Amino acid sequence: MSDRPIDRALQEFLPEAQEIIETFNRLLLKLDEDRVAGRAAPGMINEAFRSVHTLKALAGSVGLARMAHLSHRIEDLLDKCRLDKVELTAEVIDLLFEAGELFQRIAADIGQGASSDGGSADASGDLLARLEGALARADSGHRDEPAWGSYVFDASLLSVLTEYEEHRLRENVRAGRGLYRVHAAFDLATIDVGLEALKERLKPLGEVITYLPSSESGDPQQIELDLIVGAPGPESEIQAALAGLGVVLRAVPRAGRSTGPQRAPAPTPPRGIQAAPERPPPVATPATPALTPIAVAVLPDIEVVEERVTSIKSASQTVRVDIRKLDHLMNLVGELSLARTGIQGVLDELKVDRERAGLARTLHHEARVLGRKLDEMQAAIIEVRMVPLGQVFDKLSRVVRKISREAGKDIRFVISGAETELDKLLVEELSDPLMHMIRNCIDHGIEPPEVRAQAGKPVAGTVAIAASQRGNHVVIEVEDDGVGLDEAKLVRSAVERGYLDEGAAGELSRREIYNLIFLPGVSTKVAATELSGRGVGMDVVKTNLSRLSGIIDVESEPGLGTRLTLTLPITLAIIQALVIRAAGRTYAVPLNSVLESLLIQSGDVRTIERREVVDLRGQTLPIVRVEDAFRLRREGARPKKSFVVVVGLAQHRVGLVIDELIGQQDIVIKSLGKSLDGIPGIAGATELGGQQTVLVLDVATLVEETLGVGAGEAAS
Amino acid sequence: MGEPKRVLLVEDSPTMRAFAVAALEAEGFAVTTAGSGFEALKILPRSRFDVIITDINMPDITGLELIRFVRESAVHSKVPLVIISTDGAERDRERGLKLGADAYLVKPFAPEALVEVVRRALSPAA
Repeated sequence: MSDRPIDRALQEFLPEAQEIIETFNRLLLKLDEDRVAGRAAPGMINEAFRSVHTLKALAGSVGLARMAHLSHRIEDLLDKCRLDKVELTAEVIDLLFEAGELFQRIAADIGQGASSDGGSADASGDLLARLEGALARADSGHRDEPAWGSYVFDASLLSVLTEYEEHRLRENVRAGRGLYRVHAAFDLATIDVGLEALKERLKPLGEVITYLPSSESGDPQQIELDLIVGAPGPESEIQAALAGLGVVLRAVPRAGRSTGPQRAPAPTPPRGIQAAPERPPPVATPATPALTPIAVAVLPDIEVVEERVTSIKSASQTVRVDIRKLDHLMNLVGELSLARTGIQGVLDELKVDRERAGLARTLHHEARVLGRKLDEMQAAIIEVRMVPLGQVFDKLSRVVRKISREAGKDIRFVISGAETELDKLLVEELSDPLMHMIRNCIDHGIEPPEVRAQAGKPVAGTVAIAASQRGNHVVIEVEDDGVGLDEAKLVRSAVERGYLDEGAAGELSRREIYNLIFLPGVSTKVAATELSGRGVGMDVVKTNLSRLSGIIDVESEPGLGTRLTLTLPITLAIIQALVIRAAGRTYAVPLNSVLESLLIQSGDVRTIERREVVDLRGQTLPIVRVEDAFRLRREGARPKKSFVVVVGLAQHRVGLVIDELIGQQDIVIKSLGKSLDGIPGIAGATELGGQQTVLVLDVATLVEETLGVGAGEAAS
Repeated sequence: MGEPKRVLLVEDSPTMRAFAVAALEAEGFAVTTAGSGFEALKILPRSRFDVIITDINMPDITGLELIRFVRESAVHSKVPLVIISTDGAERDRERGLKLGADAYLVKPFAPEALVEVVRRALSPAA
């Protein structure tokens, strides 16, 4: 099967298509930004063009006719944009955004097993109709290509330009920029680095219109390039910027002038391409060296060269891997870890046997080596799974743009910490909850423009998302500068829904009141708007996050805004756990939430406001008995001495009361399967050595149920 | 047949590359790939190819620039050159043919079509 070309292409299609679509969407955001700021971005339009261009060919190759057709028309539109035949207006960008979303949907369908893109027929038909409209309008608005000014280009240069490059050349002439030819020779081994360095220097100065390679030196170890550059600044500036690179800069000759650096605005020129009889073609013929008399040196900056060679190499040596393959590797490591646990068991037995002490020592040594290597392997696999949160943030920017339009609100979306890394699976799972959080900010948090103006706030609301890593956790804050949460409405809503009675409501702290927002059905809004009606409640957000071992907290300041703080472990794959026993059962507690453990006597427990607490270095620590949390029946009396495992998430602390600490172990959490999924307080199951399966406690839920206004307590 | 014919394939889309490589290798060609015009520039002086297939729309060094480079090079000035480009790029394709490319193929294409075009470029008499 898999050696049929079409199958091989299909295997590669999806990841590449998704990558292209993401790039395309990211470019659109930047283009939109630049459009709003009034900056022209020809390079970026061209990149967007190239991305749909590739997508078109891909989709065509694997038989996705709709996607191919749609990308074909989008390509046409962008082609006209990059050739300045169509202006990149807000409407055009909207069309492009819609197409980007549709592409994404089609790719997602294919990813979920759809064999064609027929499911998007209606949406793509509608979009196509509007695209045709935009293209038709564009065709009538065609304008003449600007002429060459007084510049003299030899025919051999012009013949090698693509239509787009030729257009950029003309546009640079039209804008009155100076045109230069930068001649550089690179050693084959260092061309990547050398060219990168050259591009970096040129970037702030102007636009590289084309790269012309030539092999005229005849040295197979060298590549010579002529870059045609359009730049507004004086020649001296460019000369200075290129100093030390060993390249030769010349102004492109103009009719009736010397090649000196004058930059007077071009006089009205004769139209059309001029021949250049007085100057030999600078690139293509052997006569050229006479015009470029300076010995062309290879980059002299050897140190820089070598340093960057490595980085460029690694960039080009990436492979794309299906996340399931990583999961499989992770499972294998998990099973190896279990095997190691088994070996440890054998070792423990061996140690007792004095006659085999030597063997035990050897095995002990080998087991330690194995353990270390397994740890390294785990760390390495986890590292591979890590991706920057920026991937999600980019998607969110698009959502913000869309929602703010629908809501008629002007939103400034501020992102920070996009480079923070998280397990790929977590990143995927995060996008929905984050989207709902942001929806809520825009819909409920940010006031309508008139109201903001009256309150003396900037008319544009700000929604900020910031990520940072703290130890084994990543903290994501979503913050708006809107109206803040209405305590009275929240309490009323919670009372109406029967979560609280009036009396209990009066005793709630401000934080507890704000956290009411995470209860099903509780809201600050009287009527559901389109957004909240379509969206999901914060309770669902919270549930989804706790499935990821995440915890969410809310703070608010009336009139100033609301902040949601989300704390997540960086990976869920393999965790270290503390194995404990309570009421005759064994559990595992994820070690990343364990702060310490203490031994207490039964007399140490006090009761404050119906809650059991112990004193921990002068602080009051609320405790929860594991047997109570899971309603376990205990055989016999409680022991006089118990252990308290202090667990914490973010700033919250709770003591879990247990009977026995057994030890630490690496565990792979396995889901409990559908029937047992969603038991509060249980994150999953794991196998300890000797085929023993134990439950893994979900610390986030236990902490919240003990401290917060979780469902259990609110109902009492 | 003797030695397998050596093909240089210059194409920046990994999927299109995989597609073309599969089609050509199934027919016994020895395929070397380059993911950009630059990569091709680096490979060309050090190797000999019997046929070169190139995309046009690539960043920095375009297919057109590559075609001229090839035609001016000592080793490959006569080597058969095939353009693969999508429709809509007729003008660029025309230029490519003027610069010395021998044939073109419009993407997306059937594997047989690619093999056919490459075979014909290799033995124009047939």
